[in-house]
Amino acid sequence: MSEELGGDILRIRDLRLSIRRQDSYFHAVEGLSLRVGRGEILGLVGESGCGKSLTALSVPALLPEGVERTGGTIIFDGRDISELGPEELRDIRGSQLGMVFQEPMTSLNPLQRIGTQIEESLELHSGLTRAQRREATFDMIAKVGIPKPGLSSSEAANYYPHQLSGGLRQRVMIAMALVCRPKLIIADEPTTALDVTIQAQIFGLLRSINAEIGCAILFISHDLGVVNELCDRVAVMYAGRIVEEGSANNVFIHPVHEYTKGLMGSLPGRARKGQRLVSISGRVPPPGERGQGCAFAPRCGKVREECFLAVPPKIELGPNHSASCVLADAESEMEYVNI
Amino acid sequence: MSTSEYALEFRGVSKVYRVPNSSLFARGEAFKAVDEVSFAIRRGEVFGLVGESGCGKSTLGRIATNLIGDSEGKTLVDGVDARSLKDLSSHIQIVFQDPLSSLNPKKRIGWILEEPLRIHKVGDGESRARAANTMLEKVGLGSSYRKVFPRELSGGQRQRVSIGAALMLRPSIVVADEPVSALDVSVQAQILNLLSDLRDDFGLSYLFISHNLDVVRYMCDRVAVMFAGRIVELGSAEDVYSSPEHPYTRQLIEALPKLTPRSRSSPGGRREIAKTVPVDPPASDRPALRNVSTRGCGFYARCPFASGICADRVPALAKQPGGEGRFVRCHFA
Repeated sequence: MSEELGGDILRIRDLRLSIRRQDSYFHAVEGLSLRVGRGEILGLVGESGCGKSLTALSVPALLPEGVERTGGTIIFDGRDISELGPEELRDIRGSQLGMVFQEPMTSLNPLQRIGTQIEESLELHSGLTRAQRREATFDMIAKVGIPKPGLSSSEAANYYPHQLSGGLRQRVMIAMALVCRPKLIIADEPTTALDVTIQAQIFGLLRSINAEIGCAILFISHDLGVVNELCDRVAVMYAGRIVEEGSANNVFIHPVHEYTKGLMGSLPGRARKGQRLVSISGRVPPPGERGQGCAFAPRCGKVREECFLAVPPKIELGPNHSASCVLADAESEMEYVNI
Repeated sequence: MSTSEYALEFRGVSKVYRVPNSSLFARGEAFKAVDEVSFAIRRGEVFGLVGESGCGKSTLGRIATNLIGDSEGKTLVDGVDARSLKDLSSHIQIVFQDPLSSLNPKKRIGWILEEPLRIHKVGDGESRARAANTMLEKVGLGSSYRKVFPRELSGGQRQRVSIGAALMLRPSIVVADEPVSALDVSVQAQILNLLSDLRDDFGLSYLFISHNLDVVRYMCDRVAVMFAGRIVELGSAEDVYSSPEHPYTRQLIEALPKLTPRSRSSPGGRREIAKTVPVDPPASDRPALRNVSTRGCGFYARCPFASGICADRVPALAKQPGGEGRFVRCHFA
């Protein structure tokens, strides 16, 4: 990676996250590199246990106890996260980087009105007066579509979280993440617990916010369809590493890594009725059981001897498409069409 | 085994819950979770039931397996009323979403698989063990797993065990309530393939309950779409998906994330904001919690085509002239 990527809001290089068990370490994430451009929506896809959520939590330095960052750098908006003190980190977390998680009820305070909770980060991070803060909060409530018909934003601000449905609570979370106009939102499976129609509304909301205030989104999901729907670029993660990366169309039309191909083939939405689904045998190896070679090798249909020896390097396949597979070169003859 | 044409039949099934909300002495507000549902599942058929959370689909599955009592209407399993069927569990079984909470954590897999046989006094210890081993092979685990505890298995393996346990008594129909929703996509494909294989092996019928329309389209012969306790559309999976008639079905299918290439003609390669799904009034975010059963169409508040009649009269689930066995509950279908 060169300095010409100075336009990135987030750049992660060789990230290593380790879980400590007694006196040994397991590496949950190993050698992960990722970038998110300004105003870009990047989808990070992977199955459970691949390390995608830990990667997300490492950006605002919110890793759970027992997990440590043991290598790599995280540059957010030109600043190295590990060189920041607690004060500066708190400032970044609230105002420049917003987070939205899967289950909003666990992140909302059940005893506070939603307006108060949305306003809180303004109180901490902006120099606005109380009246201005109230106004900004009502604006945000209207923008994410919380008020019920015949109810003003100021009335909606008086709701408690338990009075709202799952979809509305997720809108409150998004409002909280957005109210300080952050440069990046990290959304970790924000629609997984929601119905498809509500999910579609949340996507519409994320897209319009992305277009309107230009904040970048790191969107984490296990669902390829969702990522294709929403994201500009996609990174596929397996066992703590990025195995394939590129524009959504490149990755979904020409998947190169056997894992990406397997994921695509296992989607019932693409299969005809009666046709057998391509299933990837076995399961994701837990940290500590990954060999020294390609972590996917034991499940791969095209595995070779060399796959077990060393982690395959990242190979650039074309504009905006790369994969880490020893077979990637052979398949790079594909034609890239601009769709 | 009876000779009934249908493995499972619902005849005007309703279920009313009382919401204990107001004062200690007041009668709670009634809430109709399932409202006059009727359909029948043929032998060997995979019948899908889709709808959003709270629409009553799981309640219906539990009524069929007698896990929820006190329902109105009739449920026939293998042609016999479920309430008077003595050995109901050897006719119908259920598989749940989260196998960890439905498998006994203190027992080994072999014990878990043999349990239904023990309860129903089928065979002796040796033949039960043999049957459990055979079932372990059938569900793709192998007999070496009989010594293992549920917690030692992955999510996919656990789901294989609970499917195996459901089949030990050789039921004719299995209610699969979100059987793959908690699984990763690659494992989900393994389980869906397994369910298809077992259907052929054992001549099973499935009532396949899911919120995932892609999974239902792939697995099912016929589909019923449920909204606020009522069936709003029913037909062959192919028909319902390719030409949805009810406005709710249309919204559901349009809201599905597509895996087709995106057109990136707009500046910056950004896609247009989904225009098909209106950001509807959030009051109707959770329609099932409103008491919709009394008057009018349950979808009224969210329907872009609603008019006066929709608020006043519940439309009938009417047979459509075009497709065979196609039913839609809409005044304007």
